[in-house]
This record gives sequence, C-alpha cells and structure tokens, in this order.
Amino acid sequence: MAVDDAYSVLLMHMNGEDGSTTLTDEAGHTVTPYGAEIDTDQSKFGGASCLFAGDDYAVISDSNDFDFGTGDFTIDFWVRFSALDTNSREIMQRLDADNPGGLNRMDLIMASNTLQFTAYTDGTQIASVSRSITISASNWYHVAIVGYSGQFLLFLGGVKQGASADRVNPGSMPYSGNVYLGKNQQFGVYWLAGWIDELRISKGIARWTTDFTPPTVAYNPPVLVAPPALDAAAGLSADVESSTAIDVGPLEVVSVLSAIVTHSEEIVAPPLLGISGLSVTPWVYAVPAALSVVSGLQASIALFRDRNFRITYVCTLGDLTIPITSFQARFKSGNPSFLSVVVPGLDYADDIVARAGDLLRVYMVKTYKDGNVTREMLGEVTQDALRLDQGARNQSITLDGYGTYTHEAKAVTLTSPQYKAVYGGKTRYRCAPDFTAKPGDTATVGEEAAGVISAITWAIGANSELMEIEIAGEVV
Amino acid sequence: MGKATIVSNLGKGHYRISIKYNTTVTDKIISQCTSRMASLDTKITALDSLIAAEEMKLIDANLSSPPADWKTIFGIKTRLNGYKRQRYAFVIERESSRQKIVQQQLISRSIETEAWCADLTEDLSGDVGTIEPTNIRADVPIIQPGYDDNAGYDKGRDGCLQHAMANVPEATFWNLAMHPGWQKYAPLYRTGSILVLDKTTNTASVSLHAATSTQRPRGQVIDLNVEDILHEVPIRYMN
Repeated sequence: MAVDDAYSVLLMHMNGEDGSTTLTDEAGHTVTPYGAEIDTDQSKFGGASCLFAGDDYAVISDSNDFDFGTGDFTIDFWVRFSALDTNSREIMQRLDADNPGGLNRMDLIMASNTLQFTAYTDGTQIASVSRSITISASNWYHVAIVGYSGQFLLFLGGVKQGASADRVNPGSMPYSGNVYLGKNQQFGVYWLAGWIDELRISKGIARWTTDFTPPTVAYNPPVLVAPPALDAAAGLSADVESSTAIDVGPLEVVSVLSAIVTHSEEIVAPPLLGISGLSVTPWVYAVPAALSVVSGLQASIALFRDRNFRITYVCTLGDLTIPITSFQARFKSGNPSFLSVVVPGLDYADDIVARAGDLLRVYMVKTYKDGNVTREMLGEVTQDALRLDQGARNQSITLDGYGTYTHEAKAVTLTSPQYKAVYGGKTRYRCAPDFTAKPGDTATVGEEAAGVISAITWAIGANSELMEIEIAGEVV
Repeated sequence: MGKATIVSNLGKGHYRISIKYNTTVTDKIISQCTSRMASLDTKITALDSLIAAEEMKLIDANLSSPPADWKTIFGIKTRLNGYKRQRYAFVIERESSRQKIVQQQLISRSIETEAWCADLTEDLSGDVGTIEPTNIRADVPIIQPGYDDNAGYDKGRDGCLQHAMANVPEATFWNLAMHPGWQKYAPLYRTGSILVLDKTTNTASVSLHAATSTQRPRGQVIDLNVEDILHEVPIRYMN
C-alpha cells in the first residue's frame, strides 16, 4: 500500500472484487463498511468504486491525521449519484464520538443544487460554505474542498464555486472522531445513494486554489526509477538518470538515541502486602465506574475481590441487558421469590416498557485474571411492578417482580462467615457471596454443617455486597 | 366478620356461600389508574409532537446555510432533552399504572365455600353476615345465627373482608402488626363449650376452645386464650 505523496493522509481507490466489503485506505487507516461495498458496475478509475445503496455507510477510524488545525488541507473525490433531488446527501461527516450532539463535527453535503461544507469546534462554527450548483444523477463529478490560508474553497469539476470563504470564526479545527462516509451519523439521516471513487484527504497542502483540470488517472505513488548500475571506474563517476523521487530507506534507531516509548494504558499494581502486625484486608472495593462487557452482557455493578477475580452483577429484562446500581432479592425454592433492581436514569424507559412482564434476572459474573469468565444466574422473577423516582438531578426506575421456581438440591460449602444469628427457629449466616448457593441446597458454612437453605437474601450496591442464607431450624 | 351471599341450601342449616370482598378501594384504584393513563396518553402524544418538532428544528439549524449559531442549537437541544426526559417519566408512570391495574384486577372479589349457620337456621337466603371465630380468613366461617332474622347482613355489625393487596402498604402492615393483639385481647367471636349452665341468671361458664395466633413472630406461639374458662357468660335463648 502506498499513497501518492507525503501529504495524503487518506487515499481510497475503492478497487477490488465486485461485492467485496474490504475497503482499503492506502494510508493504513481502518475502514469498516456497514453495507457499503465494492461495485464494479460503476467506476471512475480502476474498474470499481464504492457503492452506497441508500442505507449503507462506512466508517474510517478516528485519527489525528484528520485534524487540520488552522493549516491547509484538501479533500477530493469522485461521486456519482444513483438518485438525486434537492434533499441533502451526506458525503462525509466527521463526528466527535464523545460529543455526538455535534459540537465538534465536520460535514460535506451535496444535493442536486447544493454543495456545502460546514465545521464546528466546541460549538463554535469555523466553516460554513454553501454554493449553488447543478448536478444530476448518473454522472461522475469531481469535488474538492480546499482549506487555504485560512479560507475555504469549493471546486466542482475543477471549477471554483464562488469566492473563497473566510472562516466564520477564527480558530483551529481540532476535531476528533470517526469519519462517516455516506451517512449523517449525528442524526442517522441524509443517506447517500450512489458511488464514491478515489477519495483522498490531504493535510498540509492546498492542492488547488484556482480552476484546474480534474485528474484523469488514479492517484498512484510515483514510480521509483532505480538508478542504473554504476560502472564505476576508478576515479570516474557514471551519470545517473534523474529519478522523479528519492527513495529513502527506513530510518533506524541509532544507538545512544532512544526510541519513542509507547505509553501503556494499563497500570500494573503490585500485590497488596500485609504489614507485620496488620492483617491484609481481604476485600477491596472499587468504585464501579468501569463498566465492562462480559460474555455479551453489559455489566452494571463491579466489585473487586482480592487479586484473583472481579465480581460483576448483571441484570437482564427479557432479551435486554440493563444497567443497575443496586438490587435486593430474597430467593426461595418452591415459594415466591422477590427481586427488586434499580435502573439509573430514564434512558431505558421505552425498552423497559416494551418488555414489561418479561423475566427479570440477575447474574453474578466472575472474571479471573487470566481472562476466564464464569457466570451464574442468581434468580429470576416475572417483572410485575415498576416505579419512577425523581430527584433534583437524577432519576431512577425501580423494577420489582415475583416468581416461584425450584432448584435441584445439592451440597455447597460457603466461606468467610461474617455473622450468624439464631432466632425465631431459624439460623442466618452472612458469608462471602457465592453464586453456587441456591435455596434448597444443603450448606456447610465454614466448618459448620448448617443445614438446608430455605432462603437467600441479596443486597448489592455500588459499595456494598451482602448475601445472607437462612436455614430452617436452629443450628447451635 | 364479613359479608356473604347464600349460593345454595345444603340442608339442616348447612349452606354454600359466596364470601364477598370489599372492592371499593380496588375499584377506586383501577378507576384512578385508568383515568391517569388516559391523561398520560394525551401528554405523551403531545410530547411526541414537541420532540419531533424540536428534532426537525435541530436538523434544520444544523443544515441551514449558514448554520444556526451554537446558542440556538444549544437552546433546541436543551428543550429536546427536557421533552424527552418528561416523556420517559410519563411512559414509566403509565406502565406503572397499567401494571397496578393488572395487579388489582387479579385480586379476588369473592370466594365460595361451605358454612353452617350458628343456630342451624334452615331457610336463609340472600346476603348474610359471617363469623370467623379467631378473626382470620382461613377459619371456616360460620353464618350468623338466623333466629329473629338476625343472620341478614348488617354492615355495621359484620363489615366486609378486604384483600390485603387492595390496601396501602402501611395500612396492611398496621393491621398485620395489630392482628395478634386483636385476636387475643379484643376478639369479636370465639367458640367454646358450656361447662355449667345457670338457668336462674341465664348465664353459663364456658371453656374456650384452644386457639393460637396464625402469626408467629420470631417463632413465638401466641396463645389466644387470656383465660381458659369464662364465667357468667350471658345467654340469650331463642324462645
């Protein structure tokens, strides 16, 4: 792979086999198609182009290469519309993933009568250039957007459209975010119906500032002409044919110079050691900010247990995995069990309502240091009540449900008993949460043969974790 | 104490009855929730329109030439988010109301069972009052004695059973908490056997049947008999 020159930070020839979903950038950026594919029916160069069928798009991964700052740049490509009217069609949008509301974005839009380029930085409009054009479907058009000395120039078919436009506001365009081809990602609208070929983004150069003849061939790297072998004669030098380029070999790291160090995002913490005379805290809780995806489930509450594994509690309603901040449950075998979960915010309101009456489940997931994951459902009920709680700044939805189910009884051994209470003809133990324990099991707690578990109570929150088993009968 | 309707006469003072539950609260909850749902439907529909309008404004603002300034866009987004939050809240409240209705509709409005009339009156019909000897629903009910047309339902005397789910949680808990004390110290009806009958004073000594509360706080068995034998219990003769 190679680009045509050092200014090209993206070059897509859009070539390949018909129907291929491999979209290649000669500059090496990752391009992921979402329906967009190589099509050999239409082509400007190379016998193929990229087809966007009206609900397809492609995503070019975020890169600093697309941050133009205040410098010169050029975006140019060929486009052919299969259908076109006065409705806008998004050729390209760069959108800040962390701010999808659009305060940091860049848009290149076309319609049958409009060519428009806009850009925002932190909500401040930097560029706003709109030109009236006349184009129609089933024709190839070369389009170029040029940033030159703080101004923006639009070209169609090599002809400059209107005057150069000043920046609406001073400032750079420090965008971040993926580049979306064929779709307005911000609103999910303005799909492109047509083909794009020979897309190039150049940084640090205004390739055209006046009318020009559109390229007639694809942008290819210069042909390197190997110099002829030197017939070196002592004291004489042979003439060398001039080359159109100088092939510079890879730069090597020179001894005594340090190479660039890539910073790791991973911080390796040393194991906690017990200080003489002090006991090591067996439980280390962490703020559950990091939500991880485990086995296809979206985690909600993450609690860290010693150095060996992390516990995550996950909740599902029907086929939906929903985030939770806490849950309480009392699971029994053969008798109604109760489960209540708190879902933060209101974002899942529609999804929850669509699944009203579905099975509400909670899982415990253990993720070990070596990457192995085990998970077990703690219990399930049928959702039958919900409540909205609103505060000054936050809202939450509480889902409740009851259900009756039975387990196949087995023997379990529970560790780390923290509390034992005997009253009312029942014995209760608090111990380390264990997802293998189920109502109906015969439990051994520590060294003590406890008995048959009649109920298990769970109370899990961001910074608390409680599992209490209830044994029918007094264990003394 | 409760209200029942004679379903059929099984003979010799034995009847099949339908015990009626007081569904006033249930009906009121269902009515209120139904009304609220209709109101919320209107509000949600209105918000849907407002949201759609703001979304169109946002698109137009972004794509107008020149695009609208950020303050305009920020204002649109603020309104849009506000409408969406309000809509979510209404959607949840509506579903909460719907599930409340479903819950209330599951509550029994009546149950059928067999019962003896206390004095074996054989010609009862219509609504009658019932007696639950230890004040729990699980008791086999007894129909009020029919002598002198006494068995007919009397709202003030007999009241009407109400399902716990048809009440607010705090009221249900209060009833539950007070129940053992009420059973033991303020029973309305109890069964017993006459030990000694004094025809002069029309009184009797009565041995109360053994009874314990259905509630067992912390496993404690509560004996409902304060005294096992009651003395000088007044007797009212049928003739």
